[in-house]
Amino acid sequence: MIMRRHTRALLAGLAVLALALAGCSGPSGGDAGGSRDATVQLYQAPRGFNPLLASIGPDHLMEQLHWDSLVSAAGDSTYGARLAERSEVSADGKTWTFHLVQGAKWSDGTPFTAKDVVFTYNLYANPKSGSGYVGKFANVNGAKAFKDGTATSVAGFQAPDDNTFVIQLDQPNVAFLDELVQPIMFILPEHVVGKFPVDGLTNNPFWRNPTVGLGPYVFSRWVTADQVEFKANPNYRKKLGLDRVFAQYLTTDAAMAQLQTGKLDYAQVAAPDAKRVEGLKGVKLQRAEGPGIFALHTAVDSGKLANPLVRQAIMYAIDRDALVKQVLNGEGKVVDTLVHGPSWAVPSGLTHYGYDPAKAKALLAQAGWNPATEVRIELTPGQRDRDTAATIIAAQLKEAGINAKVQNYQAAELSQALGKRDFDLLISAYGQFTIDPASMNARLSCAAVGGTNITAYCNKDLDALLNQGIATKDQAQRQQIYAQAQKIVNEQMPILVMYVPNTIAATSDRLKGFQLNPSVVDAFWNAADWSVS
Amino acid sequence: MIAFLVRRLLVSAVVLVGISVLLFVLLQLMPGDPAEMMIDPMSFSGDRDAAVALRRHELGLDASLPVQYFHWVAELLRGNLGFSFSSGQPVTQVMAERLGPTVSLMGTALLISLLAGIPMGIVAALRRNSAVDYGTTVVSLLAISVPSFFGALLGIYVFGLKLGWVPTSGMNSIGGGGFLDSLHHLVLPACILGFALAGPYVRYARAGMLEVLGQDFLTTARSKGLTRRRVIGRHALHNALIPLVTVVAIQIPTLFAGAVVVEQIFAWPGMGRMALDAVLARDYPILLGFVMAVAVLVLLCNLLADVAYALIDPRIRL
Repeated sequence: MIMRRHTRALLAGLAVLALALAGCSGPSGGDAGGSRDATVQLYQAPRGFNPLLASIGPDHLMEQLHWDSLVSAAGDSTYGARLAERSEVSADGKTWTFHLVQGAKWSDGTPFTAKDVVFTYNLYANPKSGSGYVGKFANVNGAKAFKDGTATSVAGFQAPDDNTFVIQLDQPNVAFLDELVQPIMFILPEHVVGKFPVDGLTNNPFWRNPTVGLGPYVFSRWVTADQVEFKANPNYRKKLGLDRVFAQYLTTDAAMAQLQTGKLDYAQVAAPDAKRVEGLKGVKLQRAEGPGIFALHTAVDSGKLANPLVRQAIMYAIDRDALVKQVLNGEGKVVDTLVHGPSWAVPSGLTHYGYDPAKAKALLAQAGWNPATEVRIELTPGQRDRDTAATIIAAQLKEAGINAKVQNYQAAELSQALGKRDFDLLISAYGQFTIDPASMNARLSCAAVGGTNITAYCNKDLDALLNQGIATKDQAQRQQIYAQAQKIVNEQMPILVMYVPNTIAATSDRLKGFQLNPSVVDAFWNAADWSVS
Repeated sequence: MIAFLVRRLLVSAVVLVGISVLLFVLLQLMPGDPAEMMIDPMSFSGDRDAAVALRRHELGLDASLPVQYFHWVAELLRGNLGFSFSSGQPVTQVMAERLGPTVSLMGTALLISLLAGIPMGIVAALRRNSAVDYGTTVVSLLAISVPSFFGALLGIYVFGLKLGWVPTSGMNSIGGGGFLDSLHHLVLPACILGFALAGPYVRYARAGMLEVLGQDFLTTARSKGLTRRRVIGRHALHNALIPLVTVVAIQIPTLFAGAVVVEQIFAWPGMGRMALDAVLARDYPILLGFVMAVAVLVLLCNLLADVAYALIDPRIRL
């Protein structure tokens, strides 16, 4: 009897506990899937809203809802006007002038002015703020003095009036906008962030729960640690079609299931899933040629693959057409240089590295390659396309006489390997290489070594051309300059470009106005035009 | 009893200190550096080495390991577990946010496993070698051997996508929802986790019952003319369930392990998912907080099991 009483009491207690917890676990809120709400996927766990950090992940997507910027990459692979209605560069390429929209307001009603822009750009140029983009502004007049501490702000960032922002450069750069769109340089509110000390700014709780925004949908609350609610910005400069947007971290599998049940309005789709998603009822699939590349990167300075002949051999040894077919189900295309758009920047007559194992072997012999040398193919596992590609590439390199093996790294180890300059053929997919050919500067110029030029490739001839390219305003001349630059990149293969994957997105039929941006990380660029039916 | 409790609590404290030291060392041995990871080499533009050094300094990672450890302990004694490397939030806050979802998932799963597992085991023992017994054995072996990730995916496919009875993931409908909505979301993951956990309970309950059924005191009870109901319900069941208390306590860490997988698949914003993300991001403070919390829970469960054992079995003296 005692036991039975005990058991009953225990079970009753457990039942009450579980039900109570189930009850308190759900945050109270409005109706599920209300009529003017939309739900979008984040492919990784969100952290917050600090645009100063060097990261192009889910935070960058959320920031497109909450913050705003001077320019961004538009859906047609051009620079899209945002807070800057117009922007122009002087004849000498040294002065950029941005004409800001009139009457824009922060979500708390405070007017947005050019002073906010000056304030924010000074933060971007200040390493103490935790900015990951100081290098982008090294060429701005007075940036060095500011960095050295001899000036309190960057002289080259100016606001002649409330609606004009000017950047003075030391060296001409007609492609400066490229620095401002990848990633997007979001503008911060001086009247709020200006009150925080710059030292330790990264750790300020404001970035987790920002109280003021400038974008169409501003942060409202963390519904759970993986789900963020955004509310329509009452002061946004145009009428909005939604009341709320929910951004939810979902793995690909979970997102595909949610799409199927109609619980999700936007999800990024991996190439192998495209066919399946295409057949789903109530779901629309959109695809575009991506602006980024899937490529192999080697630490050129480590010496192992420093000989261009070896890199060319690797290109010939890999059947890239087969990779696109097998790995991406045909959702991509093979290219032979980093910059694959706009069309004027891609010259004809570039070498096409078709699959040719015999040629690969001959080139290796010519380079005096030692077949015993081990070449690691490094990647972070967990993405089907990359995992498969790495296996195929390793097998094909072996066939050509290169002792290749796949080396799995976790993201943290990979960052460390990059820092230590210890990687042979690191797989990475990234970039926005279709708006302006100057986009290759960040990856190939000598000045970017130690930063975004992770291969540390530095070629004097190429560097001279890249510098000319951003110093020349005349389009016809630029075309000639980049034709030469592209030829060098095509021959030298400092970054071994495999292919360009398509950008594929699935949207629910109820979400209207969504326009696919070829750049995955800019997927929410036109959120202000979204509505639901 | 009191002396026992005090002794056990003291031992537990020593064990916790040992675990924390071991963890600190192990975390350092983990390849990869959180500061390096935060300064993403693919997008960072500028002097990366300096930025990494600055971040390491801000995170206190430039101090020696013993200094870092004592700093952590000092903060811990003040109730501060540090700040997450990736989000900057206080670890206590991150864990508090995740605790509710995890406890509701694990609590319900535990309840389901007990309610399903123990009666099944008892019935199987009472009808030994019958079709019911074989059926139960098959089901329990399935529960033990089918990995929970497979069960979860199968469950999502069948009950979420094909039948449409339950949501496929998440803890509540977008933007929240009421109690029933939460319960609706809880059903599938809790059943999957509970099913996996029920397997061992069936086996232990069955074995315990069989052992007791063959003992002399039951023969005595029967010969006294007690009804079968009374013999089984009062005498056999009581004794058969005693060892299960320990099994349940030992299963709690397994429950955590299962929750990591199930939470990931169901996009359940609990501690398991948090721990996995923290491992990948090398978020040491979160990991330390998580492992310490699990360690405390395991020690506590063991202690409770011992006490419960003494309470329900008069033969045991603490």
